[in-house]
Amino acid sequence: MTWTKLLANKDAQKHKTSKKELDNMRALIARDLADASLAGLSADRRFATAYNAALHAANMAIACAGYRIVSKVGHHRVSLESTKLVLGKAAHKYADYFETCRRKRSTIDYTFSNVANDTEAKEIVVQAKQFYVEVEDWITKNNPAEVPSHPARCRDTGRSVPSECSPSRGESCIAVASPAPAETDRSARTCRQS
Amino acid sequence: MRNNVRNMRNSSVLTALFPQVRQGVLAATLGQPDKWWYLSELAGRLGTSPSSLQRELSSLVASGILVHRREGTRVYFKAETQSPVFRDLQQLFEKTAGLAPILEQILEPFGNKIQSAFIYGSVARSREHALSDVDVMVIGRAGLADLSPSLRKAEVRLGREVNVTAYSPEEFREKIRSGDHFLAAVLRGRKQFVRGGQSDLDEIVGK
Repeated sequence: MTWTKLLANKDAQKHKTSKKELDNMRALIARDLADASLAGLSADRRFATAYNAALHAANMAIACAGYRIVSKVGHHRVSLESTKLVLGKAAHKYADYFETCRRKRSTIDYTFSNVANDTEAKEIVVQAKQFYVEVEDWITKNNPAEVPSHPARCRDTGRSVPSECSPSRGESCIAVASPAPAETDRSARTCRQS
Repeated sequence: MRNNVRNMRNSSVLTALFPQVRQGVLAATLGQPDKWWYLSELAGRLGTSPSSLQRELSSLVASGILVHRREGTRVYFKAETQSPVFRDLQQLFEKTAGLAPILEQILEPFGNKIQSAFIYGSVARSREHALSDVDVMVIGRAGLADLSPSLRKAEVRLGREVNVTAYSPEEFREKIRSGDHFLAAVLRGRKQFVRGGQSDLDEIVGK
């Protein structure tokens, strides 16, 4: 897969992103990750919501690389696979994992209930958060113009989020659990063990 | 280690019985018995040239193990499911070059992180069609994130999707005890174990 082929197949379009667009995506991710952690929801709904957060994170990375995936049959798969082109090797494990999740989420939303279990729902929340941290790190390194002007600070550690406060394996930062961008106090985020 | 030995033994069984190209043709056609294979597609799957398959295919069609049909200039092949030896041959390949040995290999590196793993659903019941997904249940500490890179490789080798449901032993046990309908149906149905056996599964459940 290359951008040239994706453009030729009309799977992708060239696209110029903006800080506003990215902040809107950040807010969607924040909402979805927060909702996906709600214990009262079914495992299916938590799973599908965390998957949406991961998909938005993938689309953020793609937008920063100068592209947009065209909305048509199979565009989720293309978005996830395209993160390999943007983030390189670091994204391969996530692309493979979220491809597995994409199929499960499709079954959840269109075919059957009680598809995801609690083990899987908890795992995808952790993975989506880690993937989002990976994307923000990449944006910080490669598109500094799109990084918030006042770097987010972890409420617990005081470190900037997510670059300095990347969670270790088994932990996940919930720094992204913030309301809409206009209301967000990005200096008051927190990190927490998942 | 035990799985490795089993795979080596299985591989040598096939090598003793069939030349390599015939093994490949039979593994592909018996593994997806409803699928019509175009010659170059089959050659691509086996990593060989179409011309090198011609003699094997003619021989297998002449013996009634495969059937062929023409569409214009193209010739397609598939397993002859009405053959009296079809099921026996299919079972031989299932036990050797089929799904289970490939999945055993894929799961082996996870060691004790997987307590039990088995194929269930239409494939385990031998009621699959050409495009049936392979449903696999994995119980242990290996999650979908750990398994997914290996699963993608398995899908390329098998030519079909592998869908895994992963449970921690605690959640699996709890759901069985609470009478979860899905798990109850899976446990009642036919299973092909690719890690552990029925006794390991019973141990997880606490029987």
